[in-house]
Amino acid sequence: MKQMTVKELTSKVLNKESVFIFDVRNESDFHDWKIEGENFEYLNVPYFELIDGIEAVADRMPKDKDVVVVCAKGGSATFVAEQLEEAGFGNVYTLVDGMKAWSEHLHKAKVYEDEKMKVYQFIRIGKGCLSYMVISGNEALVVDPSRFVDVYENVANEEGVKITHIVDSHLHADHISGGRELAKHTRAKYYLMKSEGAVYDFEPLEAHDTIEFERVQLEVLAVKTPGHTPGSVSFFVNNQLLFSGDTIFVGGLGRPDLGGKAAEWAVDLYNTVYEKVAAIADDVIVLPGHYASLDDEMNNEGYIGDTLGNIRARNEMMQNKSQEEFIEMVVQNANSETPPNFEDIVAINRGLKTADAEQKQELEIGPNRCALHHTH
Amino acid sequence: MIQANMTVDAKGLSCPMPIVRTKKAINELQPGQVLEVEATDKGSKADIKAWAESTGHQYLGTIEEGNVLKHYIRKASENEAKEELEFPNVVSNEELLIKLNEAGVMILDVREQAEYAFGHIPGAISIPLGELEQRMEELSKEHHIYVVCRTGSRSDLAARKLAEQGFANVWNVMPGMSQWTGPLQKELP
Repeated sequence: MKQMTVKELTSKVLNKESVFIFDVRNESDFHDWKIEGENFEYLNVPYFELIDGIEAVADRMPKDKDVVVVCAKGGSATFVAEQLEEAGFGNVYTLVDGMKAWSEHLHKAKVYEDEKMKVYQFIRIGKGCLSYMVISGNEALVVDPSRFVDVYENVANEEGVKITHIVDSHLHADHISGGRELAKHTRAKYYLMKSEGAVYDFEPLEAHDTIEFERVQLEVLAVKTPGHTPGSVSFFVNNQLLFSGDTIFVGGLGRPDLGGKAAEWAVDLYNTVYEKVAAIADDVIVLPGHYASLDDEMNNEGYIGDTLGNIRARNEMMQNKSQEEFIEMVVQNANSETPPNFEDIVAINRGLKTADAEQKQELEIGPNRCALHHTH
Repeated sequence: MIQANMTVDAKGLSCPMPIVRTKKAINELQPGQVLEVEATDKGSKADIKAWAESTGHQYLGTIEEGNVLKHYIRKASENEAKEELEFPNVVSNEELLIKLNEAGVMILDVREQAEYAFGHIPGAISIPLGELEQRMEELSKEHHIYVVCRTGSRSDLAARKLAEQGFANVWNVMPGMSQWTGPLQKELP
């Protein structure tokens, strides 16, 4: 039985190779969330329709390209792939550990390097979540870490640096933050907006306008509107890079509608875009917390990001809108689809709820819906 | 306690085994009988439901007991929908909805106990069709009895049996629970 790891499949996505994905999960899971690749073709027939044999799909399998059989955790794909192999198909692979592993894989891409700092982006390709490491001298700062904290620790070891600062741009609703655990392992300082309601010990971002280490200066961009909490803050590093969290994406703006306060939170988003971000130069590189489409949003250098000038030029919501117009557009575009299990995930990220590794995995399975764009 | 005609133990097994075992077990059941599947794989819930839909079996529901998911499926009976309905006194779901709170009205649900447990009309009495002959003395001839099942076919048969035994005020509810939009009550452990 030939196997393909999520790492191997990721490189096929990034190299835009052509692959035939035979997804044997049930139809609703497939429609909800699948492996995306620009040159991928798909067939979805649930494994439970193939228990008595694969004859029904045999003539739908291509002979001239690799077929990757995908299921939730790997078992059903193996079951189906074995039958295909017996039927004489030599080009069939199973995706090791299935969508579970796909959801958890991080791909490291270099974003930036100058004499003061080096920046890596970690692309969680199965969910569209992005995290970052900013390295300078002997120290590193991690932005929006996922719960796979060993990945960041390993990179820090390879680079010979110590993680000393960890920042979360907001309390995430789509994935479980690794911030607290990474801080525990590394004794780094962990920063989060106090207004987000976490109940454990952390450094409140409200008390820090800047974070400095080695040759890095990070400016915290938060718009504090009286009466309610900001959804997301941004980090402006060395006047060159803008870690925009959930406010600005390569292809659109963040969604302030989670939690049913679209109009209120839209005011924050407006103020961020038109006050804080409007003052930032066009050549600054925006590094968001999410993306919606890898093919559209990954640039030629192999990471998700673009200059602020390009993003502004593409996005009419960032062009001379009045606050009223802006809020109206946000409310109109408010989307009722929420990230799977977002209430539980928020409770865990606040420290109000605990979950073991398996529960965390179950909660995070599924698509990311934080980066559904308001405009495009 | 939900009653089933057979239980499949798929605890500790991951995909595809819960469904492989379910499929095998359902082949051994008679049409209309209820299968209970115990599994610990969380994905089994969506898959059993989708599998039942694609094969025509009736997915009744799932209850969780600690880490164990118990799924209930009723094996499809081929002739259920096609059978000629003979009992002349028929009321629609909507007509029954109006009569729900009238005095002397009794709703007799002749589906399997497991189907009843996952959702029935509040106040309905449960006597599965197979037990009706033995349990007929639980019913009073004074009542107006509205017999309901999923699609109107088992209730047709039950209404005929009641009429044969001298129950004068009996109606078959059409089409029955599959289209019921009124209040529902569950009786789950």
